[in-house]
Amino acid sequence: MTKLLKIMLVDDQKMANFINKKLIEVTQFADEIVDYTTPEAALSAVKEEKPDLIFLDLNMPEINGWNFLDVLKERNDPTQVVIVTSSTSNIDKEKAQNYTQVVDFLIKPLNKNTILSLKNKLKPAC
Amino acid sequence: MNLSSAKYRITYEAFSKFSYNLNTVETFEDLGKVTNKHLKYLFNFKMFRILLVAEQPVICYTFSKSLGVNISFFETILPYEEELLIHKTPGVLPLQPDNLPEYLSEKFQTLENGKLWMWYTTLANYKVCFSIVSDDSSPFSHNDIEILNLLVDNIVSRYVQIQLTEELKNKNIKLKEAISEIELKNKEIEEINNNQQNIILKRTEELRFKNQKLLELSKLNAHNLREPLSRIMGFLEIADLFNDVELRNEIFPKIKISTHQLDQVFREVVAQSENVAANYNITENKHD
Repeated sequence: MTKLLKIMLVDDQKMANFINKKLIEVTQFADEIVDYTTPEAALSAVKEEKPDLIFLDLNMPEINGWNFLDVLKERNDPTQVVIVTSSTSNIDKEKAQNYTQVVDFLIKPLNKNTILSLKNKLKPAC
Repeated sequence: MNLSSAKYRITYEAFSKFSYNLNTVETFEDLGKVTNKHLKYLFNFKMFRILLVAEQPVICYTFSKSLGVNISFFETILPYEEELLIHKTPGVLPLQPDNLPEYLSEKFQTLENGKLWMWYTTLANYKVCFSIVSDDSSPFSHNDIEILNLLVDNIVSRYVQIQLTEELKNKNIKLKEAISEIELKNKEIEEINNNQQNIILKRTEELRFKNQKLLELSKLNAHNLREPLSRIMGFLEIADLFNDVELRNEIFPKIKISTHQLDQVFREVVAQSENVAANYNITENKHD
């Protein structure tokens, strides 16, 4: 049996989490999915939930995706992160390379293929 | 020592004094004055006249005991001088009334046995006519010709030196004028350059600022517009995972909300662009 995979979704748009959750379910990428619409709540829950992977939106009020990554870094929390953003800006993509725990940079909308590619990419690690 | 050699010695001493004083002369006028002062110690004469001619007469000194020196830059050439210039033949003639310049003719009416001595030579590119009027009270002799030639040589070479110095002075003045003209132009050019530099700096700063504002706007638009759009696209991606009832009841209302939000963002983006354009003076068709 392979190891069970737990994914945490962090996006201030509830509908975005709804869509991504459905895609993860149908592609059987994870065994458990938890979703958060406030980054603060997600950060507090990371220790307890212990997700294997976080799907992180960038453009959020109060704490944006970059702040979220900075907090994880400060805590020495090595949880792997996939950035899932509606921004097509190259500046954001370049900035993401400064964070070693970011394993992929995906542009919304996701579809079954992007999830399956990610699944293949992370297979050896997970 | 006989009389003749004594006179010779005195004359040469007088000449060396003259020569020494001539070296301090810096103007055409002073050349005349200094010569006039020493002339009477060199030989006897009623009138001594030296005319320098290039294309035209350039200078004429006429010395006489009664009037001193007359200096003229536009002297009328006397008839015997015209002859000299053509035939170049020296000679001694009885004095005729037209042998004298007008300003001397009255003074010389009572000469006893007046004689006109005349010579022609060329020195330093000038034709030189020199002549002496003598009479029995002031006899000129052949023995004086040697000292006369020395005198003429000295006067002409001093004249040439003064002439060259004057030319040099004039050229220097013109050069100085040219230099100050160039300096003025350089200053003007420098001012124009500085002005251009300032305008360029100011415009560059304005452009940089406008670009910054446009970049901020474009980043905002990229995200804000794509967020609801990507949701709508996302719903379409997962649509086939739902049956008709679920689609109608669950997914369509969500798409509807998202399209309304997209429309709202569009309106905001347009309003904001217009706002930025107005604030930073970015208008259509304006090139500044």
